[in-house]
Amino acid sequence: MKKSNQAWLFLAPSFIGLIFFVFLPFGDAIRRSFTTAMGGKFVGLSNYETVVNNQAFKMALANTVKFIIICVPLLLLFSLMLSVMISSLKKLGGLFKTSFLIPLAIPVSSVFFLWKVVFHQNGLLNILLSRVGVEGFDWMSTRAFPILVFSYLWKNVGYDMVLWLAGLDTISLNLYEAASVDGANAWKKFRYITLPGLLPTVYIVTVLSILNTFKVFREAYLIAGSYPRDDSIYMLQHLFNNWFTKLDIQKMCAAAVIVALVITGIILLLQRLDRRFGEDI
Amino acid sequence: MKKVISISMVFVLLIMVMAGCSSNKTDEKSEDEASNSKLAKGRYVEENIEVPSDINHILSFLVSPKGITELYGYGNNGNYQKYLYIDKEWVEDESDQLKKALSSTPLQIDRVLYGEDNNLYVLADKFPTYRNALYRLSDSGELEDVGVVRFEDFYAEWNNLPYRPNSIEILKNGMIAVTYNWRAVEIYSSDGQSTVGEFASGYPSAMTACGSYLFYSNENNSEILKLDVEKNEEQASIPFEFEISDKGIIEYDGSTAYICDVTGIHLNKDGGSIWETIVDGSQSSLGMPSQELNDFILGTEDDYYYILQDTEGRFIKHIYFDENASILPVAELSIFSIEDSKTIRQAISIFQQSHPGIKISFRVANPNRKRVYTYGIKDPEATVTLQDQINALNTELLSNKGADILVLDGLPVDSYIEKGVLEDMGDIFKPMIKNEEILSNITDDYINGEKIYTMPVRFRLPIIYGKSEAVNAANSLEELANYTESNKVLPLLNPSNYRAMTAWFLLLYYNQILNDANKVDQALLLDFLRNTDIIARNIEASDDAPINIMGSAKGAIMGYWIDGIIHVHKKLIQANIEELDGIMDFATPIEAAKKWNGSFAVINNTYRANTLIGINSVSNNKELAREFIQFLFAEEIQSEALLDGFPINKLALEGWIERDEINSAFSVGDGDYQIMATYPSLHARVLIYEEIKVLERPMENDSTLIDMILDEAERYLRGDISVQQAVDNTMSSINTYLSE
Repeated sequence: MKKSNQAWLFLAPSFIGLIFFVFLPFGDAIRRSFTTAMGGKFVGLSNYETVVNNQAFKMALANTVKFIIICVPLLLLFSLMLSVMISSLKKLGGLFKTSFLIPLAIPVSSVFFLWKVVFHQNGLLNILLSRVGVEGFDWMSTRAFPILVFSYLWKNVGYDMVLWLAGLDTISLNLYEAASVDGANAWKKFRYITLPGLLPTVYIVTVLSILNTFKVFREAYLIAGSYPRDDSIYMLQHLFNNWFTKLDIQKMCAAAVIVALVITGIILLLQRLDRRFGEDI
Repeated sequence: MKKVISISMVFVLLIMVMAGCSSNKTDEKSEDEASNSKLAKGRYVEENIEVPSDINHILSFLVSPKGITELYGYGNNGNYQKYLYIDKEWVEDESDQLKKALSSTPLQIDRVLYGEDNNLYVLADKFPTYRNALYRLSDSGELEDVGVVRFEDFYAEWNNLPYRPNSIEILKNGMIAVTYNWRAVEIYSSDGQSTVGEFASGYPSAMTACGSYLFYSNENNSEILKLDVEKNEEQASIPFEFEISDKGIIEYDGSTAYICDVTGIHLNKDGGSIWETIVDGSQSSLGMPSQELNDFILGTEDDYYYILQDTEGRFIKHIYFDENASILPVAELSIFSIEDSKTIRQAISIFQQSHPGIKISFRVANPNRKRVYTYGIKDPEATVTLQDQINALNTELLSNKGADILVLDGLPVDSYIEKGVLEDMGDIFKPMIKNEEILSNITDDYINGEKIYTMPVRFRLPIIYGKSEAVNAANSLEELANYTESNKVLPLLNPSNYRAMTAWFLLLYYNQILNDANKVDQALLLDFLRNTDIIARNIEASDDAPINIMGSAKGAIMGYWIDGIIHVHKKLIQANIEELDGIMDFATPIEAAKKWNGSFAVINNTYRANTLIGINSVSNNKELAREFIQFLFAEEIQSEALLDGFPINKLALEGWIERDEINSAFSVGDGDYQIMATYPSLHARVLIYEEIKVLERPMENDSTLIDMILDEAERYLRGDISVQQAVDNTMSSINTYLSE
């Protein structure tokens, strides 16, 4: 059997799953984005027009973009720092690695209760602030955005760190030894060996981090419900959820197609950049 | 070899995936065909048994140890009568021993029963004390007082207050088993002189005897316990997982246990663990909320009888296996609702009796609610939110699988209308409106242009009662707040929880925060919050004020101002707000208002629509749905008082107004303090009708919007934020919501 056929055979089960559980539903979403909510009457681009002019969509999109722009670089930076530090540890590296992965295993509802204890008006944070003479806030209601950013970083830093560590493992130790012989300090080793060596990993870590920002809805929903008091955490997922409740499936599908196109565009752009920088290396 | 294994594994996996996704239509069809040919005919059917015309009150309906079906009752002139049911005919029992015995021992009989010792027993009031006594009919035809000592003990314990045992069974050795309303089973010696056993039971009616065994439900209502009374030891337990009502009745025929209640007739053969439902309550008279199960009797030929009771009296229903009855319905109609509806259940039972080939399934998202919460207060024990339930329904609607009829209470009605989920019901209601069959002041609110997509089956009436000046000030919240400012001697209302109180005011005065464009107005919302704060301070509302918990027919009621009625009557507060479901609900509020020489009135001409009904536009049974809805609004269904609101049907409502239940008495109490009231007088009933005629505003149905306002109002009243901040936050949320 040809090697390519073998590959297709092994790919087939997951590919079939992908067809049934992703492509077909998304195809249905594309179809619904051109029809009325009930009855399936074709309406052309009118749903897209409605969505693009919808104030709630604009606000949710702006908040989501803001969240991605703030969180993804922060996450990449923190997780890279951690991975470099952990990879330099000869002992206890494994322990730290596991510790940073623990947040991934904690259920969202438990995290929410933990945040309540910390960030509630009468919570631990405000108690600490009052000790130093600073008046606290109702963080959960009025400062929800920083909490959400913190929540995202806390949860995902371990995951990204593991990805970076995998990238670090691919860099030959000989390069570092040669640099040491040439008298390079730690910063120069990082700047001229580690960073260029990690460029192929940047693409995958960035894409996964962006996709993970869409999973933060569960935390946002638990903190503030369907309509957050603090508008800044009103995300696209809030809007989609609310549209579904109101049976605005046509708007939801049109918005989903728009978002999918934008994300695909970003991923393609990142891919292109990755290839370009990859060639340079 | 590795290649072969890998390829085989992939192939197996593919087959499994494909099999999982493949359609079973062909198999289902052939299975259906096979089962149709085998089971197409034969099911249990219900028939009504007309009692003899001279029986006015049924005492007992029994199958004697000889297998003869007997009816005991009182005639129109109050005379005791006994009939035998032979070949579907009633024959008066000329040789009735009991009748002869009663001539020498006159008694007021409550019930007649056969013991497992084959003797006939009578539970009756003995003269002249009118106290419970158990009599045995002796072989010589005399009535012997068994002399149950405990019966007398209870009278002594409760200062001669009248009471009745719930059920009585006589075991083979003559021992007497009795259940009481306080969920106790007691066993007395055959001479009634001593108590030989005491047990707790979850259902006070659910008990039966067979030989020397006693069957009763355990305290947790999870199993039937089989007790050998002679040895005083538990022999077996039969677990059941379904929930039966308080009126559930247990029977046992020597090899099979039966439970009969509103959910139907269920049986469990000895040694089996599965309960089989042979009669579905919703497909029979058992499920009618207007009727209460009084007794369940095993027949002799794989048949059953049950006695039902309503305000008119008792009825006998016979359930038998009809080999020729079609097992599959000709048509099926489905109804979906978030909450249960008694009127719909009533209509389903009666409709199915007149249309035996039609099966109506009623799916309730929140069945068996033990607690009822006031507006704005969420059930802390609820595991599924309303939003989850709406999303589940929307998924069905989007795949064209939703129920034929939707009860829209709590659902996004406007959105459903806009999306075309609901069918125009103008052809049903326009003729009714034209002929003035339904209340036009209510129906007007549901005419959408030329179309009618939804209509409430019932409506609830929020009223304020007490001191007249306070009642008269309830036209607007501003007026009410001004009134409380100038009348501070007594609190206006009972203390309440911030959220519960604000929810009431918001729903009652919602139109007063809307601008000309029907949108929430910032300035009006600010006034609303300030006025709410004035009243909150006047009545000492607080965040910590416990939400009242009160046992009632509906279960525990959370957050309503029920306690207020006592305080109005005691003149500790000036008025109380309550939502009423029927004329009899007015009895105690009117009595409380009398203490003030006061009055009652509807508030801001607002009512709460209950059981908003609509037809799914993609239903395949639209004509049947229309027929059922027409039936739902007919006088026959609407005239039943089921304590779920007032009727929309005008003739039914006028019937309520005319009906005088002069013998009815009502009471509401708080420890030793009792308010006793009689049924509202004709004058009061006419006043109620006048108030109903001016209703013009349904309460807001949009729970998302209401919750947004309540969330901020609560924080403002608590002092966490300023009134301006509360308004700004609310407007921001509302704007986001509306802009979606």
